[in-house]
Amino acid sequence: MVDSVVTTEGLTKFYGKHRGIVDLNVEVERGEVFGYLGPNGAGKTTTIRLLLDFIRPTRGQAKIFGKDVNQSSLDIRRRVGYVPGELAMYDNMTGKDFLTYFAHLRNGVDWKYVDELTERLDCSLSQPIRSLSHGNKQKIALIQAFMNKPDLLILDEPTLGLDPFMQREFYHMIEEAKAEGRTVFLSSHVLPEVERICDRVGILREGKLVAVEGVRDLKSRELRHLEIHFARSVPKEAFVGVSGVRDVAMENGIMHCTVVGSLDAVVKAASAFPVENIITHEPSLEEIFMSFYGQGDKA
Amino acid sequence: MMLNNVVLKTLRDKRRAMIGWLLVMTGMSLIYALYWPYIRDNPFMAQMMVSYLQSFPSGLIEAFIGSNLMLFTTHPEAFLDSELFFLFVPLAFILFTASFGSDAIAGEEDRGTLNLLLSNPVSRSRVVLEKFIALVVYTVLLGALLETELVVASVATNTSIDLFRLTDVTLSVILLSLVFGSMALALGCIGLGPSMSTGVAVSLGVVSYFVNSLATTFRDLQPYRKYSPFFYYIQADPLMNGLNIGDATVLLVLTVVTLSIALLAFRRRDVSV
Repeated sequence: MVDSVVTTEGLTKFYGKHRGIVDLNVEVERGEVFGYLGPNGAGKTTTIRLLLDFIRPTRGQAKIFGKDVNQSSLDIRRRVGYVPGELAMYDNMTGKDFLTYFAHLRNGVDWKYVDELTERLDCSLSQPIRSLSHGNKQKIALIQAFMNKPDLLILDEPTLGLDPFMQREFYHMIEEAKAEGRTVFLSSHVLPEVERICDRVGILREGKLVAVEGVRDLKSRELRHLEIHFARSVPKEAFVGVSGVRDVAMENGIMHCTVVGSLDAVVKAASAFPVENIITHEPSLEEIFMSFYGQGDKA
Repeated sequence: MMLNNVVLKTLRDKRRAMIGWLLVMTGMSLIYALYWPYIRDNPFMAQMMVSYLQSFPSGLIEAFIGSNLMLFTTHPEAFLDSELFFLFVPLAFILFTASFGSDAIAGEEDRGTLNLLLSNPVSRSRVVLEKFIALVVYTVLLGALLETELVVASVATNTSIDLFRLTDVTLSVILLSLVFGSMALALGCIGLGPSMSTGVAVSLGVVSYFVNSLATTFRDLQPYRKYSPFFYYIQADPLMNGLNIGDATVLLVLTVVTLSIALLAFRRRDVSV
């Protein structure tokens, strides 16, 4: 039997006539990093707010650690760390005061671990929060979510505003949490991020969960726009029919194409010619959805 | 220490605002300290003033000064009643508690910090109750500051004033303002924004004041007077006659009822982003 940490059954939320999420059935297993992917407005934040009992479902049910999120909200929140998508903090406090306040509300934390996180994220806790950049506020929000080593981390767009170095540190923190058997539910609208750190991905579109995929499966069907600059003119035909390659166009020694899945075949085909540069463009989420699920899945 | 729980955090947040309110209380005490000795020591001027006031329609006098007109030049308690405790003190206290009450939930929700607060293992009821406790603490403190300043002003002006009666009226104004403070808190818990919650609670306070004060002149208002919290605040004249336990209980019950509505409403509704 699967040990589920998060389970939703027909979870639906409407804000008046506006759709939040519709009939969401999702299961997150203990110890996994579950990515919750979807464009802005797809319903990611609504799902997270339902899980934390900030809002109540129109119908359906959500459970965390096997307990109803409304009936056992307090028990659940004792074991959950959360980073909100729209970050608002107590601007008149310093980072240290903010963490002290939340540490008291959680009956204390291991301050050595807080110091360690602060150092790893290169975060200043002595300044008033109002004077910090969004990235630095985000670091404090991450520290408060991780500081009491919760069994479940619910993170809504957690890398928003973090520079690449800090993103990498954050990925390490996620890996450590996973290694300790803790569970992560992470929303994002950035596919490469989800691919990098998640085990499985739930793809949300216009309030509906259109697929739950293993990251490996997702990668095998991933779509990329590729641009290869050659030192001289190359016949377009050299790439037509190469595995995964489509929409080939050649202009002044620059080839544009779309590749589905691995880049291996196209790189090998290109190696027959003098290559000056290879540029990949990440597709938009909408393109990914169109590629994966076609127009017919659009709600 | 100041961050151990929601009560202390709320008290900490409002420290600076309290300095402003302390100045308001000082201003009121100064009216008493400067104006009362002048009235007391100049009977002729005092009589002229009474005669002048008597030239106004009685309804107007009843509405803004109360019914102690004949005594206010000779009794410091009556002076304080007419000049401060009839209108200015309760209005200032209601402004204080209503803005505090609306900021408790509606303000925190408006600033977007309520989400993070509620992601901690604290129940919504506990948050409301602890914010209410902070409101009570600061309202009592404000009352104590006002009373202390009035006592100091009395000593400075060689005026003998009944300390127990002063405590009675201060208690009464605290109870009255807590009704409107918990009302603003409840409006925020129901889902109104901070400005709206303050505005509605203060407006109801003003309406309540006029219903009570004008009812002695306009007979049509008489039946509605008992629905006005101001009636229970001032009708027994606590500064002259002591606190009426029945009236105080009504104000206390009103606060408990509005607080219960706040708790129930907030427990059930969605918290906005």
